[in-house]
Order: sequence, then C-alpha cells, then structure tokens
Amino acid sequence: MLDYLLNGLALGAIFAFIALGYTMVYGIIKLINFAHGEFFMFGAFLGFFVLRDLGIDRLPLPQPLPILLSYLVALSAASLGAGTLAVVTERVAYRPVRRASRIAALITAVCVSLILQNLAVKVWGAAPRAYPQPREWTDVGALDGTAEANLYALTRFETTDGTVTENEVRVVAVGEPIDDAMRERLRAAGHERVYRQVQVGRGWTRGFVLLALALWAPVLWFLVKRTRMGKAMRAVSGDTDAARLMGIDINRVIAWTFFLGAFVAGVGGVAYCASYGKVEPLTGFLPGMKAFIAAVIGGIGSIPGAIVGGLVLGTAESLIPYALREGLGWEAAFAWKDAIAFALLIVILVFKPTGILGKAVREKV
Amino acid sequence: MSSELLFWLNLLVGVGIYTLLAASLNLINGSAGMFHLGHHGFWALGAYGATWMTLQVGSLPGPVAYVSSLIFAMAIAALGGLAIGIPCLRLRGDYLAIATLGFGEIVRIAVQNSPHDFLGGSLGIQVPRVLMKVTPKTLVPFRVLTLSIVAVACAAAIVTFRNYLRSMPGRRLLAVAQDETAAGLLGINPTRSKVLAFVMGSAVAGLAGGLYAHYMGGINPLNFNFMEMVKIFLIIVLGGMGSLSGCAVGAFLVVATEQLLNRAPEAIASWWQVLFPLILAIMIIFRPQGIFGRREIADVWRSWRRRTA
Amino acid sequence: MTALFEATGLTKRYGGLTAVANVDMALGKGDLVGLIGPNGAGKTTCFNLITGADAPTSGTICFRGEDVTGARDFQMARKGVARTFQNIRLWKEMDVLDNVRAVCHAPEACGFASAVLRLPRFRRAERAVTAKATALLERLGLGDVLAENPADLPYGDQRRLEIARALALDPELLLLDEPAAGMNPTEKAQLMETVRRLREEFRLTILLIDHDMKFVMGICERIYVLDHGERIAHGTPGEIRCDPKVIEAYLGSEC
Repeated sequence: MLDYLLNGLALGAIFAFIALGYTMVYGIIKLINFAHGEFFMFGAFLGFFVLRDLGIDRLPLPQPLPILLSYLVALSAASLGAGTLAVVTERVAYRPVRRASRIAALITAVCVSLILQNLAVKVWGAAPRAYPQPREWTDVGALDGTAEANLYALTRFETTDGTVTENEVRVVAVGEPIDDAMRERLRAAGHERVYRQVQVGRGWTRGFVLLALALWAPVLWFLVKRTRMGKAMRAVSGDTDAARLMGIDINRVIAWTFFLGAFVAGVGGVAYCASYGKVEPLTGFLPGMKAFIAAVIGGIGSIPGAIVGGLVLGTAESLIPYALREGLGWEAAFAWKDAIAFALLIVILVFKPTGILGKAVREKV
Repeated sequence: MSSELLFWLNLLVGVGIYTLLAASLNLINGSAGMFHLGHHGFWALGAYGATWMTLQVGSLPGPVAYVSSLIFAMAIAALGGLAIGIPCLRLRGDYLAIATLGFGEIVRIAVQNSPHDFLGGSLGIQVPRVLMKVTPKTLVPFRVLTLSIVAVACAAAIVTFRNYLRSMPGRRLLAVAQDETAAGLLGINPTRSKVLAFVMGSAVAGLAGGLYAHYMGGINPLNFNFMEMVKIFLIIVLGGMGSLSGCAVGAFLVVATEQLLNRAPEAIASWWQVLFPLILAIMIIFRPQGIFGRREIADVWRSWRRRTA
Repeated sequence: MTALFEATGLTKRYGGLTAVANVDMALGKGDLVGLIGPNGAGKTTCFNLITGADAPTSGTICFRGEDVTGARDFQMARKGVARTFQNIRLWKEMDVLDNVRAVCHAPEACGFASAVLRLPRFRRAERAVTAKATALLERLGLGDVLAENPADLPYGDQRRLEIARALALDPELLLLDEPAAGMNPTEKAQLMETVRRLREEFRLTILLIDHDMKFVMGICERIYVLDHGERIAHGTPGEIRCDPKVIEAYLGSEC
C-alpha cells in the first residue's frame, strides 16, 4: 500500500506542477485556460525530441552526468518551449477576448485547446511514441573478455566514425552468462563490446518529481511574494483596473503569468511522460483536466492551493481505487480512476466551491 | 444516382439529430443562461438507454419496441438531468461549465468501463433493427422512414420549446437567466425554473440519442466524446444562442460541411478537426450573436419585408 | 391594530463585521416610512433581511402576524413583500410588457402541459396576465412603450417600470431602494405624488431608503435612522430633524 501512496504522491506532484499554471492564469484574468493541457503536451514533445535525438545521454562523461545533463536540457527545452507557446497563445487568442463575456472566453479556450491538439496530430501523427526512458550505459568490456552478464545485457554497434545508434541495439541475454557459444554468435553478428543498460527505476522518477516540487514551491513563493513582478501579478489579480491606474503594464504581467504557469507545466509534462513511458498529441487532455480539478480542489487562484490540490488528487486517484479493490473486492476499480477525479470535482463544487484553501466571495445586491 | 440519394438522406438525418441536440442545448445555454458543457452525456444516456430497452423488449412488435425505447431514452436522460441539475444548478458560470463537463465525461467513462456483456463497453454495442430490416436494398426506404420520424421529432421539440418560452413558466425562466437575484426577489423560484429547463433539455437530448442509436445500428462510447459537445456548441453559436431556427440552420451548415469534407481527399478532410474549433473561436469573438441572434427566421423575414416594402 | 410588519432585535453579522445590530422596526398597514442613515449604516442590509435575500444572524421578523424569519427571497415575495433596486435590475432581453408579465401570477393554476399544448385554460390565463400587466403599466404611464426594450427607455421610465414590476406581485409591503436617485427636482416632486397615490390605490405599506433629505422628509410620515448598524432615532420628520444624535451622525444637518 505504501507503494500506491508514493505513486499517488508522485502523480500528485505532477498534477501540482500543471495545476499551478491553471491557478495562476485564473487568478489573474479569471479564465480557465483549457489549452493549458496542450502547453504541457508541447513541452513533453520538446523534451521527447531532446531526449531521443540530441543524444546527450551518450556523451563520454562519467556517469551519471550524461543522464542528468540530458534531462536538464530536456526539461529546460520543455519549459521554455511551453512557456513561449503560452505567451504566443495568450497574445493571439486570449487578449482579444479579455473584455468579452466569460462564456466567450471559455469557449475560446476550449477551441484553442482543440486546435492545438489537432495541429499536433497533423504534425506529429496521432500514434503514441515511446518516451525515452532514463537509462545508463556502462561499458562492461570487450566481448572476448566478458565472462558473465547477469543484468540487462545489450550490445550495440559502434560505427566506424564512433557514433552509436540505438537501432542496432539488441538485447543479448538477460540473466544468462555469456558463454563461448554465445560469444561466437555475437562475434559473427558483428558485436565487439558489451554494454550494460540499467534503467533508472521508478523510485528514482518518483523521487525526482517530488524533489522538483519541493524545490520549485519555495522558488515560486519567492517569485510571487518578493519580486516586483510577483507583486504586480498579485495586484492585477486583486483589482485589474486599479493596477492599471497605478501604472502597472497589464499586458506584460499577464504574459509573464502565462509564461510562468506553462514553464512549470513543462516540467510536469516531461515527468509525466517519463513515468508513463509514452507521449502523444492527446496526452494533454486528461492530465490537463485532472490538474484543473486539482486546482479547483485546492482553491482556484491560490498557489499553495494548487500544490495541495494536486497532491490530494494524486493520492486520492491512487488510494481510492486501491481501497475499493482491497476493501470491497471491486476488481475493476482502477479502470474507473478517471471517473473518480470528476466525481471529486462535482463533490467539491457542490459543497465547497472555493476549494480547500480558497476564500468565499459574496455578491452585493 | 442512388448513392447520391443515400448520401443526402444520411446527411439530412444527421441534420435532424443535431438539430434536436442543438435545440435542447440552446434551451439550457441560450434561454436559461446555464453554461452547460455536458450535453454529450445526456445524448449518450439516451442512446444507451434506448439500446438497453430495445434489447429487453425485442420480442414486441417493431414500432412498439421502437417507441418504448425512445420513451425510455428520454426518461433516463431526464433522470440524468435531475441527478446533475439539482446539485449543480447553484453553481454559476465557469464552475457550472466544468461540473457539467465532468458529468459528461463520467458518463462516457462509465460506459467504457462497463462489462462488455452489459453495454458493450469500449467495443461498442449493436442495436437490433426493430423498425424494419435494413439491407442494402432497403437502405433508401429505411433512411426515408428515419428521416420522417426525426423530422416529426424536431418539429415537436421546436414547437414545445417555442410554446414554453412564450408562456409564464418560460418568461420566468428567461427572467432567471437574465438576473437571477432580481427574479428571486420578485417571487420566482430560480431553482425550479432552471431544473425544469435542464430536464427538458436533457430529455430531448436523450430522444436524439435514441433516434441516433436506432439509425446507426451500433454505438460505442467514442461517438459521444467531448468533440461532439464542441460541435453542438458550434451549431448553437453559429445559429445564434436563443434562436430555435438558428439551431436548424446551424445544424445544416455544420453537418453538411462535415459530410461534404469527408468526401474530399484525406489531406483536406483531416483539417476539419482543426477548422471547426477555429470557426467557433472566430464566431464567438467577432459575432457572438451568430446568424440570427435571438430572433427567429420569421422575425428576420418580417423585418426584411418591411424594409423592402 | 397589530403591525403589518415587525422586526425585533434584527442583527446581521458577516464574519467579524456587524452590519445590522439589534434593530427594531414596526410598520402598520398603510404607513409610509423612511429608512435613512449615512453610508454604510446598514440600510440595504436591512432591506435584504426583510426581503429574505439574507437570513438574519439573530432576531425575528413577523409579517402579517406570521413569523417569517429565515424565509427565502421568493417565499417572502409571494407572501407580499416586493422591492425595487438601487441599481436598476430590469431584464434587458425582454420587452417592457414581458418584464411585468414574468412576475404576475396566473389567476388559476396553469401547468406546463397546458402551456405547451396551448389549451384553453392556458389561453385564459395568458389573457388575464396580459390584461393585468397592461393595466399596471398604463397606470404608471408606460402604456405606449409596451413593446420597447427597457434599455431604450429614459431613466425615469425605467424606474417606473421597476415599480410596475414590483406591483405585479400584489404586494402589501413595498420597499423602495433609492427611488429618487438620479432625478431632478421636478421629477422628484412627481415621484412624491406618484408614491402617495400608489399607496392609496393599491393599499400599500411603503418603506423607502433615500439619501435626499428633502424627499424623505417631504413624503414620509415616520423615519427610522440607522448609524453603524444601530437604530439611533425614530420619529416624525420634525422630530428627526432636531434629534441631536441624528445631527451628529450626519455632521451638519440643520435643525
């Protein structure tokens, strides 16, 4: 059960990253940015291309530097890319509807979401792609010298110019010693060296995500509470007209909010796809919805609320089906986990629409 | 020649079904002012309800089974409307939108995860042909028959909505939609008005679902996804939220465009998925009142006649 | 004579803020009473409590001898308490006639089915409602603008439409929230006449809020004065004018 709890927390951290974007944008322009899931997806795709094509993880540096570096670049690309897309989207699609009715703005957001999703399908194809798993290559030795290989053992060709391509990687033997017969086969096939691949375990991914959240939370707190831009953001979300009269450049503040929200979501995107092993244009829809639900649960407009809501939803999504399965014997409980998230949303909206950490707002007659 | 006829018959049936969906959504969003993004859930409830009922009463004579399944579809959808309406109608604006969106998704997920022998689950389910046998030879008469039934249903729904809106309960609903606080203070029970409108809308969506299930002969959860909801929304925005004739016109434009594009080569047809949200976004930004605004074709005709007289 | 309306110990707290504190009020049938006080005194909150828009934190409200504390807004309206609004809240997408018709009650119960099927019962009810609404509008001088959109009417007409709408409830108690706001002296004089005559014709009891002292003193028989949520004075216009507490609250009213 501890396993499920940790999984839930890690998933919750990912939701929290995405929920932050929703909550910041809602706080500042009272818009539910449906397209936020697509910023997340875009970041995930950029990360994918970095991890798969740039080959940073194969740099001849001491382990674990190549993996760390690879991920750092992927995360940066994802965050910056998602942030840029967010700023562009805001400028093109949301600024014209800032003065329109709430329905118009929300519909526009839904449309932007669909347009981005389907553009991604046209450009990258609808099929899911395997997300490069974090892995470690260790050169175990020349084929002749190696006597045993009782871990994953993969060999890969080294081409004449020294580059290594993954296409030529073949799993040789898992848990088997490399005996003479096998050595013959391998040499005949052209293999020369033996490498060991160790997959970074689930525990590492989970730990990474939680650690990242723990690092980012104070950074965001600092940004929002102590910097000038942070104060400007809070001013605009409190009273836009007053902020404008005080000389704050609303457009810049809003652009920054979108950027920051998507920047953080980009981190979530890479983490999510690395955890689940695949990325596709429709990746953004469901996690996006759930992150939004998380933001509502925690109190939309509240940054700590987004974090709390994310962790709560992630844990609930993991533990409630577990409890249902173990406690009530409902085998298929996990298939319904998405419905559980939506049901939680409705429950919160009916009983405490301002969320766990939100404040009630009254209408003046 | 015959395949052209089949194409257009199919298109018109589609227009009819989407008109029902649009008119019922229009009642909830346009007239009652409730921001509802879960209409596809009611549509699915109706379709699956009708299917289940047909499977239960398949031994009865065709038309009896057909009609009773439609009634059951409407009842199930109306119950769904009550179930989601009563707790959520206190919510306003964005919150109601996402709550209803959540409901629509829950329905879809529920069907998708239901046991395969119950409602087909993610594989979909066949709907027995109770109205008439449908073979390639009888396709034209079948489509004509369905089209007539759908047309009657549309007419009935539109007349019902129109009469309702131009009566006392209807005016109360419009008052609640335009200023709920004032309406409450002037003796109108807002929850009652809204629930009534919501249930009416959901029942008609259920009817559309039943007709759809019988026409298609087979349904699966993917037929009722969120894209469909956005499509119905596009129809009412295009036609004008608050205009019943707008629903019919909008349904025709959207369904016809989609079907005609489907006949085009793949490269063009696949752009539809990007195109129609774009059209919706442009409409809502630049011409949110749609083609007819809140007026009906009759009003537009009258003012045109006056100007040219 | 039992009071038509009586509020005892009316209190409303919003979290730490006390908007209305222990206010007593009584209105007899046919009274024309004013409720005044500086900004933030709690007048609108009192209206909200009386009309059921808000529930009091403590205290009781009796209407026609019945304890109605905690009744909801539409329930109070149906019992006979109607109000107009400080910021005009007309329904802008319905025409003038429909604004009033939406509030009218049908003389005989008329269900959903008969409305949809246009049964004779429904047609009769519609005719009755239309006749009543038209009569009310004509009485308030709006007979020529029945098909107009309220947003197109001049400000004074909009205010009168609000009153017509409130009267459609057949109320016994009518609450007017700043009825003279935005009017020039001539219009205000006309309004005073209108209010007096309406009270006669429709046998109303009227409680009104306004900031124009001349208007309030000129029309009201009694006045309640609130300050910081408490009732600080009650009496005829003459008594109020010279009450030292009232003068102090307003800082500068003349005796």
